[in-house]
Amino acid sequence: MSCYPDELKAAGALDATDAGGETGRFWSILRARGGEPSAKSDDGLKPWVFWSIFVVAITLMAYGFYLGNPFETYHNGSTL
Amino acid sequence: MTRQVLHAIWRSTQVCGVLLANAYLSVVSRNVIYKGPLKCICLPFIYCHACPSSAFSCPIGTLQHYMAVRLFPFELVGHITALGLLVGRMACGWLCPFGLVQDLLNQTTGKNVRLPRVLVAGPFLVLLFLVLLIPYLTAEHWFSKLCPLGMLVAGIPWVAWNPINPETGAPTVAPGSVGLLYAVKLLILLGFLGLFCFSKRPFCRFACPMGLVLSFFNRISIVRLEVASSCTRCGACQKRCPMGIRVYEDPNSRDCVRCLQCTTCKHVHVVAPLLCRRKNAVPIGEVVYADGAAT
Repeated sequence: MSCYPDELKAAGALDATDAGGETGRFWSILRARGGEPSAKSDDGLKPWVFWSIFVVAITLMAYGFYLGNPFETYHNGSTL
Repeated sequence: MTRQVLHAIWRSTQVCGVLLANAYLSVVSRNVIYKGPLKCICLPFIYCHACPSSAFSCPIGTLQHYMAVRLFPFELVGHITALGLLVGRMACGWLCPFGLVQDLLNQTTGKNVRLPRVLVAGPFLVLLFLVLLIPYLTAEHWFSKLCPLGMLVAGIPWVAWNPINPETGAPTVAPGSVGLLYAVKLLILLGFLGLFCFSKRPFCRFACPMGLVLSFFNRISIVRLEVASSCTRCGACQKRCPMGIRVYEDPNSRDCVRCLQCTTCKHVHVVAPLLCRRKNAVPIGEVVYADGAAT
């Protein structure tokens, strides 16, 4: 269900002729009940998936540093 | 926090990014590029490692070099993944010197000309061909050869300064080494600089491979944006956004550089759901009116 007042009105969930009374009541009740609901957000990864990938990333970094500096053969001639 | 204060902090941090990228000031007396241990650390944003004052390396330069020498970039993959998981594209917005150049040039006109949608394929093509495939096949650093930022911070300064290299006793830029490729690269730079005046961060959106890689983390990173249901879609967030994003439609867009300028609107919030629990929001379908009637 949409959470925008104009879309709610269009869908018939709110009275389209109501210039603010019902809409205002709608939002005031939402806020009074502990905050505004999320209209646009992303859930992302599950925490255990997220932290597993993070640990793998840190391990790769450490292994890369262990392998050494890749710039021994890198020069600045390529900029000209 | 007021809009002016956040804007001042943002600009100050971008200047700090410039200083971080150009931390090797001894080049003025030593006349040679820094090659010490710090050069094995990649910056969290694109910046030419061949810049005279560069103390760190460029992540995209490093990636193409790994391709050229046909090694797997363990450190780089770990580095970019960890960075992306933590803050998404925030380094693009808060630290990248080229982002600052784009922001400042665009401020001179305040225009945001709509560019063809097909250009969004640009970063994919740059990453695939100039950074991965062609360096792998030719063992040449083709991204560096064409990078406009490399031209701005390395190509032009070295040619203009051209000090005597104490290691070789010869000028750093050998006579005759500036040729057609240099001219092509200069034209690419001038084209981008002109574009910066009329479009918001076109390099970030249509060319930067680093921004492309980090952009995939925007939706899953610890730091995310959220738009409250009370948003009226007035468009104020879009006006403040240096990328011109409609934040109310997609707060975690891949284009978002997490500059947080949109959060000065009371309807846009920074959230970190993996670190702290969200507010006890009411699902929209389960609203109960005070008189007990459910929606």
